[in-house]
Amino acid sequence: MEKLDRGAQAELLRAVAEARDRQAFARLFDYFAPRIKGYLMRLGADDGMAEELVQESLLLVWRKAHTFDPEKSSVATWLFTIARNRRIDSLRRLRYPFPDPEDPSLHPEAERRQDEAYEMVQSAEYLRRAVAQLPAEQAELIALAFFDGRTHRDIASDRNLPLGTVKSRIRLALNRLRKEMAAFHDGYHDEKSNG
Amino acid sequence: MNGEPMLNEADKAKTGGGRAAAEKAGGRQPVHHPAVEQILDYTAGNLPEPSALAIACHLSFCRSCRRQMSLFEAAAGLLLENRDGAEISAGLRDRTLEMLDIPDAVNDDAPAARVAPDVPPPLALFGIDALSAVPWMPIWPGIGYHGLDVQGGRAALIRLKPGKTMPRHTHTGQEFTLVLQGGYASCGQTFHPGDLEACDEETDHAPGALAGEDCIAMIATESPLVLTGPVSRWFNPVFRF
Repeated sequence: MEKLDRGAQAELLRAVAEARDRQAFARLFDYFAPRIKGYLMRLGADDGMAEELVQESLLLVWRKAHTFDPEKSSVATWLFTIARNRRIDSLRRLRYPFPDPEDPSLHPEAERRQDEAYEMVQSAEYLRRAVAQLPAEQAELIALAFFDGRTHRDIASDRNLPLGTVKSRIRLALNRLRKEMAAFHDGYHDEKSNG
Repeated sequence: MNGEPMLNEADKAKTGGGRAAAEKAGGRQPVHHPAVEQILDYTAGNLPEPSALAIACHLSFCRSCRRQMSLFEAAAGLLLENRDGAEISAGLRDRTLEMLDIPDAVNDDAPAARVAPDVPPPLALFGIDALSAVPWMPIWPGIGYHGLDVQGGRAALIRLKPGKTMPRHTHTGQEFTLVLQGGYASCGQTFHPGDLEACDEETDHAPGALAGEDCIAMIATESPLVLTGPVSRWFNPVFRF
């Protein structure tokens, strides 16, 4: 598949947002549509349904490009969340709410915004490295959750692993990701006190 | 729900300003959270509706859990890029390009819900836009109840008068309780707005509202709770929600 680095992805999306650039949109389509379709089929959508959801997701990219904030996530992550939400919305028809990234009460002040924007675009490289360096057993858990639709309990019983082992691997994975981000952002010490 | 969704000043003072005010003041953050693995299940879209609702509501209070969610999403985005894709039918791209300027080509996500500051936005999906406007049904002396229309389990808002204790009960599966107003004590711990308590069949408790104001909480479970007190056991058939 074509390679498109993160900077190029963000540039294309900016061209879509600011110049309504159809050429840029077509390139994003070529890059992401097969990946999103793969994700949806892996989760059980048939070919027709997967393409319908791919199309809806990409149409939302066109419509919502102006809301993308490169300081808060990568294009791939943003697109992934759109596809995930479309799938939940359309396939299962459940009311399964996710935080609305545009809800002002979640980001009421510039100060908060700075605080929250800790997946800044520069730090994406740190995160990429952290994900690449996750031990296989930890990365696999995240992949099974997102791409196979398995809960941590499902994973434990599928793999015949004690529930505690699955939980601790998920914790280790999260801590590693968090540590990479904290190392990037000086003074980030807001560890969770519980859970 | 129609009518005036915003709280008046007296109500705001009574509720201590709720979720939005706490956020603006950079104020209290929840201390009782869902477990990391539950955030992963939620973020990947794998939870039944009641549990998803409880965690979504907690996230609207909780910065640190939103960060965890973002980290899992970021990892999923990176993994998505590195996975093999599926071949796209010839023509899908062109058909999509042709639809770009058709306004109704895709139903947008629901517009951001307008809710009172004391209501987590996800509850708007279930017709709740202000705690002062919940149509409570009395089910027990001092206890009001309002069922939420979820699939795959049960969810409800519960209102306890100050000092009022829930009948002793246990659960047949995972149950989440999320405080929206006031607070309660259970098993030696106290829970305040935004705090999420996870209970299961191991938990046999009788949560009691703290003094002061009414305690309002959302409960979400994949199965009914079971009353265990000597008298209240008799009420199981009517109390099953």
